[in-house]
Amino acid sequence: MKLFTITQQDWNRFLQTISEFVSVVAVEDHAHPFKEKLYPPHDTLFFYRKDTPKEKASIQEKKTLYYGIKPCDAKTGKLLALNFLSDPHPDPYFKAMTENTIVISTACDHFDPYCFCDQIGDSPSALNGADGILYTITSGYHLLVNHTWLSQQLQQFGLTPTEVENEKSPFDKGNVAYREIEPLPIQVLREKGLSTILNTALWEKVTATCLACGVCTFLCPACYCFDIQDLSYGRVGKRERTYDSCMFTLYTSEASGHNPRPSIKERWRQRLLHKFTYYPMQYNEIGCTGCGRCSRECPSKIDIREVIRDAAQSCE
Amino acid sequence: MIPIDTLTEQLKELAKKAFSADGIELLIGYQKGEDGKSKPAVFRSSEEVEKLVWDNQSGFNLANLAHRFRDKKVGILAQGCISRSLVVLLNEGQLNRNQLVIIGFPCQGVLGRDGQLHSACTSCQYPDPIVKDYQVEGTGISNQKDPLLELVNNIESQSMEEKYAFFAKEMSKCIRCYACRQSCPMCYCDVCFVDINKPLWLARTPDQQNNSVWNLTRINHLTGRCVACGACDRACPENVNLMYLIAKMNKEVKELFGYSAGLHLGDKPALNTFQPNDPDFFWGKEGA
Repeated sequence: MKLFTITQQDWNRFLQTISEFVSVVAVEDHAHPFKEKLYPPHDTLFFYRKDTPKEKASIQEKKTLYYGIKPCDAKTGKLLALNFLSDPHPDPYFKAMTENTIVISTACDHFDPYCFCDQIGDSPSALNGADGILYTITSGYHLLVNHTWLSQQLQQFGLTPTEVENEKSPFDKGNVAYREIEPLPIQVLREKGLSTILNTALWEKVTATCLACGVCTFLCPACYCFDIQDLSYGRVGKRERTYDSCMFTLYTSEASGHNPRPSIKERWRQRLLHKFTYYPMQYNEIGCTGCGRCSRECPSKIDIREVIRDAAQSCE
Repeated sequence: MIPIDTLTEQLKELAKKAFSADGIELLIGYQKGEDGKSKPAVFRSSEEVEKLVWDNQSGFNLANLAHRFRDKKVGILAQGCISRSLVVLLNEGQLNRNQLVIIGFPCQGVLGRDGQLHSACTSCQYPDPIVKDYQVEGTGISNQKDPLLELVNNIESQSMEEKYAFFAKEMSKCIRCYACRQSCPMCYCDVCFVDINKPLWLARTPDQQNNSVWNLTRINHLTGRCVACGACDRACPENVNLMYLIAKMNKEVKELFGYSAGLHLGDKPALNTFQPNDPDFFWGKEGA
């Protein structure tokens, strides 16, 4: 990894220079998760016409550099890749998207009441799988880069890097948010989460006011579930992939009419345990970035931190 | 208006009374969340009621939960719009009046997502509960004007292109999370038309075209039933302006049928009844 120091003015000039080779996009909207850029809410997989071979929809070819992403959101690429790029069926659409994307995050300088990345073992200055991270300093930025092409470009621009072994750099405490706070008991859920499965009282309690809408899952940087629908218009049509949500009735409805997750409590249990028990079991990573969008935007203001604590407490 | 703390204390007293005197199994109200804002909560004993609060963040329509717990005897906090929602649900045979203990209070309005008094509240004409078993005395919000109706009148005077541009812009924001549907007490269908995929009534693709069909269908299903509480608008994570569609449809119902939903127990919903002298020939004497 290479560390550069760059003034605000030079940074702007640098972005202008490289915009010859890549599209440069500033991410300013943090209400929406960055996952929408790598894995859009809806995507056409292919078009078809009766009696002719199917046509693949175009896959993004041009490289795009996104900067200004929050470190929690940058983790989205790492978490989604575990699912989409694992063998035996890596997803060509997601693969093309990630290969053509350069992600530069900015270390976060504040916590809002819903942020909890520091309570699940991450930090507001973590690289989290991004290609680079900017640490704001008075004169501009420290820029930690983990991307060969990008650091070549920076050197061609006239900057001299220093080698850094890992991201646990001395910049952890610079203009980066820090607070003393108790971590969440995610380790308990990781080890004993399965013991809560039959605890109906727990799930009834935590879901008493849940509406079963899809806000939490649609805005979650780690949720990736999708539905596939063929939309036909006479002799032509297309296959669409759209976000789906485990909070919806239709998600688990079977052709027979039976629904193995008939009520909100089974669906919430699935959502929580998938993130904090099944995902670690399968990939050794929790399916959560601590961005807090699920709690921030919940119409019932259900706070996932409270649910994590309640569930961990009832583990046997 | 009553200070919020006094209101909360009085609501607590009445809630405890509902537990001891009326034998409710649970109380539907609000409590403070980890973020310091109030959120909907279900209290199962009079000891738990100590946590009850009401403040201007209490924008969730509790009638929604009354429907969920309709097999139990429940107590519920209700100002104007929540009590009107209960009236609609009672009139539609969804709730049993004997199973409900309604703790009424005058409403001071709740905040929208922008931190301002919500547009449903600045246009509210009925801050006081319509039905109640207990009542906190006092006066609620009082509006001389109806800004939402003014907005509707304003949009009506625009050209077709301008109207469509506004509508299309709002619809393109929707992500189809269905928070509007789920937060609405009147959306109680067991199976919603969008939750059927054989046949596929509506593609899941969240584009402007499909989003328009979704929102217009929902609004149509609420015609003559919506009490304009604004819960859907406050629940929407994308800030889609749902209030203007609601206000337009409520205006139509009022002009055509002289009817506003949820004002009288025993009313027939505007679109569930007809009169022999209906001016529409299909229903009226010319069609008979």
